[in-house]
Amino acid sequence: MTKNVYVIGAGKLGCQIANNLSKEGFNVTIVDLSNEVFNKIQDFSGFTRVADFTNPSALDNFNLDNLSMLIVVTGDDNKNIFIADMCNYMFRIKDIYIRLYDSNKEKLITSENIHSICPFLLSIKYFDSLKIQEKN
Amino acid sequence: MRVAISNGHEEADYIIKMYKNHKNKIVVINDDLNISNELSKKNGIDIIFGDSTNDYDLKIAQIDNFDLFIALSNSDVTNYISCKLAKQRFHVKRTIAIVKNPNIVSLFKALGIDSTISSTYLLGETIKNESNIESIVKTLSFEDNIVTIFELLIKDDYFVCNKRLKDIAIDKEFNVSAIYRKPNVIIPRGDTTLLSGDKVFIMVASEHKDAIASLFTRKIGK
Repeated sequence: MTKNVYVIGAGKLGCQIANNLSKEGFNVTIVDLSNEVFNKIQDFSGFTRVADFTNPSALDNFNLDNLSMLIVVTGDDNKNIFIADMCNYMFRIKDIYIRLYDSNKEKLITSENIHSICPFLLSIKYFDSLKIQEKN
Repeated sequence: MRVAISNGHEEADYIIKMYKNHKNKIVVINDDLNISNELSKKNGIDIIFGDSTNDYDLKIAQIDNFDLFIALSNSDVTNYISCKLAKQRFHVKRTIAIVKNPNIVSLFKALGIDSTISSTYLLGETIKNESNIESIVKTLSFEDNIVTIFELLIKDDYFVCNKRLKDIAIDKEFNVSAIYRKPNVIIPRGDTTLLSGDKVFIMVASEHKDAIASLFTRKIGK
C-alpha cells in the first residue's frame, strides 16, 4: 500500500520535499494558498491542491486520516505551529515535520509527534563541523 | 489583578479603560506602531511596540505569572501563538483569545486556550437561544417610542399557549389588542384563550416591551 504524505506550503523547500518523496514512491499531496506557486514543481507526479490549512473547516475536504507524514513548511512559523498542533489534535498524525525560522519557537512544541527543522540551528551545526574539519 | 493585552485597536482601547485603575497592573503590547502611539496617548500609559508571538518581546513586557492575557489580534494564528507563549513560557494563569473564524472556537479550547471569543459565534448562539428574535415579527412605535405595538406568533411550547388572557399574570401593563386566528381577527376579552398559531398584537409601554415579549415567549417548564 502506498503511503500518503501531505506537504503544506509550496515554497522552495515544500516543492523540493514533495518532489523527493514522490520519487521515493510516496503518494504526495502538496497544498498552498494559491495555484500559481505550483509551477515550480516539474515532473511531479503527486497532487496539487489549493486550501487554507489554518482554517479547520477547510480540512473537511481532505482525507487526513492515516497519513504517514505531514510536512508543514509555509513561510510563517506561527502558522506552521498552529497547523501542526491542529492536525496533531484532530488526526493524531504520528510524524509531523515543521520548519521554524525562529529557533526559540521550538519551545512551543509540546507533542512528541511534532519535529522541528530550524535552518538557523542547522547552519550553526554545519558551520561548527566545517570549522573542526579545518582545524584537523 | 495583573492583565496583559496584546494587539487589537478599539478593542484594546476599551479593555485598557476597563482595567485601568489603581487596583490593576496592565501591560499592553502591540505590533502596529501607529496604534501603539495612539493607545499610549489616549490612555496615558506606556505601550510596548513589539510582536507578542516573539519570546524576546514578551520577555520585555514582563508578564510572568500574570493573572490574565487577552489576545486581540485580527489574526487567529497570532492570537493562538501569543496565548500559548504567555501560558507556557510566562506562566500566565488565564488566556483569552478573540477569533475571527467561528469554527475555530472549540479547537482553541481543546488546544489549551482558556477562553475563546468569536463575535460571529456569540451572535449565532444568541440567535439560537433568543426565542424573542424568531417569533417577534414586527414592531411599531408611536409617540417617539413611548408606545409600542408588536406582533408575535404563539407556539405550542409557550407557557401562554392554551391559557386565558386573564390568567396570564404580570405586574406590567399590557393589552392584547387583537388576535389573528386564520381567517378571523378576534378582539379578545379576558376569557379569550390563546391557541398555537395565533398571531397576537400586543400594545405596551415601550419600556416594558422586552419584559412582556419574554413573558409571552417563555417556554413551558422554564
